Amino acid sequence: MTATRFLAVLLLLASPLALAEDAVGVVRGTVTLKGTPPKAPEVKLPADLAEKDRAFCTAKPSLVPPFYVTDKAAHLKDVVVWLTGVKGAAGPATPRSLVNADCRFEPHVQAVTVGDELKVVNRDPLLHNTHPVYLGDQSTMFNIALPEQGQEVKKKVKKPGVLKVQCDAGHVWMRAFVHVFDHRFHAVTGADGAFAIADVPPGKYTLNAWHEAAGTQTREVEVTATTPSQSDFSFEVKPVP
Amino acid sequence: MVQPVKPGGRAAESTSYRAPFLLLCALLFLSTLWALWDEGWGRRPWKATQARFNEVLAQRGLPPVDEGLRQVTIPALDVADRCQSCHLGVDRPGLESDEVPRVLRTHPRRDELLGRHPVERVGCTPCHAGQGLQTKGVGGAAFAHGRDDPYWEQPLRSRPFIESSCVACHASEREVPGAPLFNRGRALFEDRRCSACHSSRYVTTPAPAAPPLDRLREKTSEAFVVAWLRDPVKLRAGTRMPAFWPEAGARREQEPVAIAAFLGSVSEAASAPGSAPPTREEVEAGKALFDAVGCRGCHQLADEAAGPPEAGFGPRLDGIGARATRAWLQAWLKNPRAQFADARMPDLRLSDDEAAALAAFLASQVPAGEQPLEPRWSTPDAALVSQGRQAVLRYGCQACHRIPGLTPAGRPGPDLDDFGDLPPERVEWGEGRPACDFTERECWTLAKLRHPQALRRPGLDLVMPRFDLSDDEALALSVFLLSNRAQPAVPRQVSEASAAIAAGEQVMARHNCAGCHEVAREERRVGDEVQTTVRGGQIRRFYDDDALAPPPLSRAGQKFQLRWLFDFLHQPRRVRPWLSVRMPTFALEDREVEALLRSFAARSGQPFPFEREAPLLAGPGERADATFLLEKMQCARCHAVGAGRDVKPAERAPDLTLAAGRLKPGWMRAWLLDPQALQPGTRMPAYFFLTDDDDPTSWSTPYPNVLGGNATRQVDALVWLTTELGRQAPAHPEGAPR
Repeated sequence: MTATRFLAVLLLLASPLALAEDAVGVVRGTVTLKGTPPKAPEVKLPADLAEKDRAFCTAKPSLVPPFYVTDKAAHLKDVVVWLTGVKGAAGPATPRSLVNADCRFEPHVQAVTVGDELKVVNRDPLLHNTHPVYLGDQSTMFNIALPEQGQEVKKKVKKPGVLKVQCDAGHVWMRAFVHVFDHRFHAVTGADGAFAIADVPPGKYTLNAWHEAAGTQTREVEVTATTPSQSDFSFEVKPVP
Repeated sequence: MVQPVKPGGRAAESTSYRAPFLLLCALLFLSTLWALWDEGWGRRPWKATQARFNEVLAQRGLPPVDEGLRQVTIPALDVADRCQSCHLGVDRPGLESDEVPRVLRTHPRRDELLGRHPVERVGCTPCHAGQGLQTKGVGGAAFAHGRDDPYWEQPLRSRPFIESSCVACHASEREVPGAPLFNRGRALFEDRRCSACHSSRYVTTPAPAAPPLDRLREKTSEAFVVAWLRDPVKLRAGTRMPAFWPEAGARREQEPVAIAAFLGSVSEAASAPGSAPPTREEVEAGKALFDAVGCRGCHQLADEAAGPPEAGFGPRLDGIGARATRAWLQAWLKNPRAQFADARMPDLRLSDDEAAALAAFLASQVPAGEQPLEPRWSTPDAALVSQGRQAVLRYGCQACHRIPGLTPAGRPGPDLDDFGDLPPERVEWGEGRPACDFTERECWTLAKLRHPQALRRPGLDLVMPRFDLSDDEALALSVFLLSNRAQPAVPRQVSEASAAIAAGEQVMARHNCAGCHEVAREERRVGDEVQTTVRGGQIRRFYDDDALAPPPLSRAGQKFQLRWLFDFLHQPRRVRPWLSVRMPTFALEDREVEALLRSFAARSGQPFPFEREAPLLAGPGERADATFLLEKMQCARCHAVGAGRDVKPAERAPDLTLAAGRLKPGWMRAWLLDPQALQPGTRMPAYFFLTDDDDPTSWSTPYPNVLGGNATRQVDALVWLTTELGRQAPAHPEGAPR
């Protein structure tokens, strides 16, 4: 009865897979930085900056965003981590925001999904201008002026890619990054350098990690429904662009 | 009464002729019957094909076609075609499959071509050539479209050469639609200066002049001229200069030396003696200028192997320091037209220092291991000079180059207006026929372009040089050459707008506008996505930000007041002080400027030359509101306003007072509402927003308390105020060209 036995074994093997159809896994990890990050660049306000802006912006702490933000254990903040090759629905749109506050963009790095609504806000009593440009083809996503304090404009995110956000209103030091994905399997590391991508269907994928100055790393991961997939990244300090 | 018949008389005569006569009658009768059978009922190859076609139809459950010869007669095109007696499926969709015998298949480009060229009105031979009446093969053999019959004056064209036919009716179009090979061939004929030596019925503009040869002693060295004549492509890839001595031989050894001696004898002596070697600072300053002012729109350096086609408009400049002296480069850069009236190189209005730095940088561009060029020339030897003059006349150098003492005498080569009708008996192979799958005439044309000298017969002296053509280029040029035929045609009428666009394209091609500017942008909606095709403006790859690159021209018709554009094209002024790239002075003719303006208007669907502007929804009554908006929106943070103001912010945006005389009010309106839609990448931000992305009229404003919160009225008030500011502004310092 080898045939029957074989069939039984096959069924036994297949049953967890059949049960696991709806089960999902988690990819998590921590990002650390090797080496000593360079000193925060010196603030140099452009000579042609309007007087009003100079007075307001100069008084603000840490005007220019540092390239590396780490805690005492060298955990690296603002690293975008995402999976490629996952098939899954985009999920409901999430409200996101990009705030001009104290002559900086907040948050400095974020990851969003196509279909999300990005709320652009000006909290400062001066004219800001928010101009995200896709790295690569250099195309502009939008370019809006926010002359009034408290002004809000909502923009739907339509095209995947990496956006560098600039302010053309003379605030040349302002910069932020928005990663746009056509799936929801992405995360950004917090101050503790940790990330977690949840609800991942089991399978083999490529895990990517991007940092604005340290570059990009990739690795293969296998996700199962039972144990979380742990992937830690270690970046090395590179000269600031 | 019966007459007695003498022996040997008439009756006897009749008897002796009767038998051959009857035999002849019978032969005649039989041959008539045979001819009738042959022509009427019997041997007709198309009958079997029609029977096969009906089988194909039957397999698909379709009704059969009636048997019979099918003839299309079109007197205007001098056509009587019987091709569809066999090619029955040509205009029937659904017979594309490989299972259908090739002769019966649907035309492979039926959807694209036959809709506009219905076979019953155009026939087959106007495109495919061939003998339309012929339905039988030679000597009872299978029909082979004349490939086996040397008496067909126009054998069926081979596939790539079908494009040679289009221009007969499409002569008035700059680009023949659906005929890329032909278009490329015609462009090559113009670009390689073929028309300096040969006429063509489809290229009537004179060939662009080649550099004059009257300042060679200043420009280069004698040794370089000799090396250049022997192998121009080796010294500069992509040159238009052909090789007159492509093969080794006594002529190749002697004639270039003699020609160089002759050219040296007629050239002016160097005005500036050898200059000091450039300093590193000069070279670096020159490099910065080269990258910034716009040189890269037309020229490439060693750091760029392949760029967009527009970047190959001017000569490649890697190794220029080994071809031209620094002194000559400096004079040339400072004022190209002073040396060469027909130069395609425009005037970049460089200062003396800028020209010196650029020349220093270019002179430093020498191939590894070589030294910058020294203009060394030997003392001319009278015999050699005279020999050189003879050689120059023999090769017709003066057809392209201005040479002191020689008058440019007509076209030295044969006229090619009827080249496509070249009688088969004139196809001569000289040293041999290379392997080739096309018709005799097509193969010969290709071979002549690839190896002109190889077709030499003993005793015939050929001077046609060899052009550096890739296989594709040679094929394209052959397609163009064979299109030159005396052929009946029904010229296609083109609309006034497309004629205007085509005329403008020609001017833009002549001056390579696309090297710096985006000249066309087409957006096509495919499903959910918008696909954008952009032509020109690739120079932006050298600038960090689109706002630092030359502005796009694809919507110039909507944007500019034509009077302003007319003046600007004649004498460019500085509008964007923050740009390092500059609009050169092109010395355009009035008719060229008019062609450009007409084409801009046509492309934007605007009337020419005047148009009625929609009245603004604001006027002097709204001055206070408009001033409030201008203040609140902080326009003056980036825009200068008039000459009196500190113009520092103008590092970012044009002076607002220029708008009144420069921009159309309709454009200013649309611009204020949605700048990105008109000029993607612009640094001008949007102040007004659509509350509903799908409703293009749902504009909202950050100032709900001004002018009833109506964004359109607010925009009109701003347009009105900007125009007023321009009218009041004093004469602007930007009036002077930089």
